[in-house]
Amino acid sequence: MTRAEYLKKLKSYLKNISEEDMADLLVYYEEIFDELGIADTDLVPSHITGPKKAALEVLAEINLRSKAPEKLKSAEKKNNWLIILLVILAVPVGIPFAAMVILIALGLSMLILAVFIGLVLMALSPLLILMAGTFEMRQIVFLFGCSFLGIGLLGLFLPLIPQAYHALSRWISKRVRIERAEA
Amino acid sequence: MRRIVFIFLVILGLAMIVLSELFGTAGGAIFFS
Repeated sequence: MTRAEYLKKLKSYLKNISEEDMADLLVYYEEIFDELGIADTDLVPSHITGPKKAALEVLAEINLRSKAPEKLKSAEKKNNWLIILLVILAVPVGIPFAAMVILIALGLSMLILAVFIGLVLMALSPLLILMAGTFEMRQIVFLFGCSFLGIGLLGLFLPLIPQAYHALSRWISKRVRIERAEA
Repeated sequence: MRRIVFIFLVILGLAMIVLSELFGTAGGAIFFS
């Protein structure tokens, strides 16, 4: 069988494959024949797989290639359904849990805000002397004591806010980096 | 340094409150005296 005959037979066995696959295949076989130095009219050596068997191999490969993505897709679909099912099952626990987390965060931020408002009012408490209109020694000592205490506590705890903010942002960025590395 | 100043203010404030209590009625009763 000559090279031209071989390729003609191969083409006839593979009528049903796409034009793209056929073009790739012909280029592949022509390269092989060129490398072996077989011209169009030369005989194809017997050690090269016959056209029928070669065609079957090509068909098997194309079949495998086209089915693989489908399998993946169906697996993805199954996974999606599983995730939806899990989400539905998690709702009775998840919603109260999320509400709890949000309310705890809200409560903590309210607490911090209230403490700071209290400390500011404490620092401003000597102004009450003006409202009271009396100038007894013990009242003045008490109110200035409150003021010093408020200023001292504010001075000690205000710098902690940016520090806590930086620590939190550092922790979040670290977590994000770890998650990305794992993914 | 700044922290030491604020700690001093806290201690001074507490001491002044305690002192005012020692002088007579509770400081909280300032408007009712």
